[in-house]
Amino acid sequence: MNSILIDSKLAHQKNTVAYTLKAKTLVESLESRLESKQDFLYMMDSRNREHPLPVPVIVEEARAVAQFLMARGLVKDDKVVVMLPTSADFVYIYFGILMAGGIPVPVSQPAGTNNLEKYIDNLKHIIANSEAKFFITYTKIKAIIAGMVDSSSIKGNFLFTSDIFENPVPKSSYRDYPELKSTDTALIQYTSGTTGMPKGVVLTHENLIHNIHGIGVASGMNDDYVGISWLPLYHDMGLIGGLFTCMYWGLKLVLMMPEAFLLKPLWWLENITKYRVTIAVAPNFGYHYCVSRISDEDICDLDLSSWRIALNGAEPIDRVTLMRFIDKFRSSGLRDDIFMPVYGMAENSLAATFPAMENPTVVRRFLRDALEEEHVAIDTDSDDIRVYVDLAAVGYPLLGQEVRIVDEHGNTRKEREVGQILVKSPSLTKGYYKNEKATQDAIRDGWLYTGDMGFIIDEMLFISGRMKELIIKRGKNIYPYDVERIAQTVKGVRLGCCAAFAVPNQNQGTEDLVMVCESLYEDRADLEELERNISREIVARLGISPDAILLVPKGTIPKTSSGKIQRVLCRRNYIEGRLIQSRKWNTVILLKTIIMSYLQLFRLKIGRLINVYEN
Amino acid sequence: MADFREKIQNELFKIIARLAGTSPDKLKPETNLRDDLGFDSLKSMEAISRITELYDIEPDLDEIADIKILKDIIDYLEKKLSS
Repeated sequence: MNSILIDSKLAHQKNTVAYTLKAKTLVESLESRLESKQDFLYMMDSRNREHPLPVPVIVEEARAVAQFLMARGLVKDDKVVVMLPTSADFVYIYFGILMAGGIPVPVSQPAGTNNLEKYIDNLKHIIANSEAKFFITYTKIKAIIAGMVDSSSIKGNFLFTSDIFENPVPKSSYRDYPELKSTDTALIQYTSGTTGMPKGVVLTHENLIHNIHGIGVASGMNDDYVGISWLPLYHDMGLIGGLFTCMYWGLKLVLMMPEAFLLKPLWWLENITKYRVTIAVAPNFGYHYCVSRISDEDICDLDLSSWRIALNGAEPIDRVTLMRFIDKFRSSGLRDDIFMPVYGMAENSLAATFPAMENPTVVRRFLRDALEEEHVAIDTDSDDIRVYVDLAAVGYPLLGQEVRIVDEHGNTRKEREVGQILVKSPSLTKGYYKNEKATQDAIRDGWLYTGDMGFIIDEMLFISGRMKELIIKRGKNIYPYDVERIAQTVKGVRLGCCAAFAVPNQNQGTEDLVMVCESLYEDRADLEELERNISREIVARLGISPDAILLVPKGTIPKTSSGKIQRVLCRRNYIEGRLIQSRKWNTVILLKTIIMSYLQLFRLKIGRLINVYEN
Repeated sequence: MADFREKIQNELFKIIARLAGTSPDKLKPETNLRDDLGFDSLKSMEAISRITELYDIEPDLDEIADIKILKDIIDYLEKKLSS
């Protein structure tokens, strides 16, 4: 499927296979199913009850939404911010906006009352930055965001779903729909991230259809496939990878609410059994969640033999999680070759690389030190967790896409050499909405600078890490700088002496957020209180809780000569158990540490001696 | 009724304590999932899911969205189990 490299020494890949897209716009793609396969969505409600939504219903309801919006003054290219749960209404409203010539801007719902201040800040920014004409949400959210309405420029065009569906335009007054072009914008997706304000990735119909076409080809899709997703529709994986891809390729799609999955992951697998699902998508933690949350007696009624492909993306992929998942559900007929680790980013619509169908899960073992310090991938068969790192290949570029690995000067690196991953494709955004500077930083000469680090072996892409030491927890991006900045505001923490980093947690199938802070406190009670205060502050401001907080004495966190925190080194010290916490700093431990470090030194010397003799 | 409530509370505290990495006797009905225990929304959902499973309740997402403190969970369970 993928082209052969002209020069295998260069870590640059191109997929040049010819292809023809099946539709020009998303609306055309949806309406074409009126003629072919009308059986499409099965919405599952919060108690996992089925609500079938065949294509004629979706088209009819979406047209009603379009007519309503046009009657309310929406004109071509007006932006509409949409904050709705994963529901039938979301689908109607999304397509309704497109049919009316508008541009949907989906945003996440506030997660409970966590972190509401930052959420509202971001939302206000999105409404202002996107120049939104309308804001559509549901009545229940009113109490939470009521205060925002008055202070927002959107006042007056603040619509609830009930306004739209209870006041339909009579069919006799229906207007003509504007003509849509493939180059029209079909989505502005604001990227999450904890630093700075969200940036709006502008994607056209053409961008999106190119991407979903490539996804379907790489996963061998046809209309016999049945899909399932519990990812939120405001997120690219759920919206593009779930809804749009299944629509375009003629699939039936079982759509669950993310909350329902979290509440009862068994429902996901029961639905796979009931609907004979062939393809499912979830981030790594979803698979882990099933392993830890589903009891063995519930497994006996499951039949997962129809399941062919489990797309796994958005988070670093962990081999142990995949193995445990397969082991746990083997007795339910689960195949052992379903996992497809995939790679992509919002700027490239969604997907950039997919593994080969015939060999979807390729995990290889590399020397950790060589990867982290010499930036080169060297194979190893070591069993020592401190020595090796297992990485899952994310495969080959999708149709018409290119992937290149470059060094810091932009020169293409050789095979096995680690560098920044660049992507170029017809799926790629033209840029961030009204943010020229960010666009110029990210896209140069048609190449997207992803900020991810990786390398290529045997034409397969491996992701080895992220620039800026980004932490991904349950699919959410966290910048260490943000966490550190917040921790430093807590009384008792030494200013500029915090380090936040991620440590893979194989039991949880995700990454742990570890926070190391220096403090002058020595009293146990003081330290315990400080730990609680730091945790509370981070949850309140970022909506995530650190998995471990270590309070350490002054001078523990390594710094460069210019005083910058060395997170990578600090992380390594943590993993190897070389960080000594303040509260444990008593005589016994002190002695033990001193003895241990002597032993270490001794072992090193012996090691050198042996080397000398062997040589 | 009081016994029943106490039983629910004991079991709930055990589950929450394990998830929070603390001991049940440090928990109170007024303990706030987010502010006191540092639970994010996913962890809160997991906590509620574990306790409803114990009582074999099919929880309703709309009803549990407003849960903030441990007492809210106890009230919810009591309501569900007595209905």
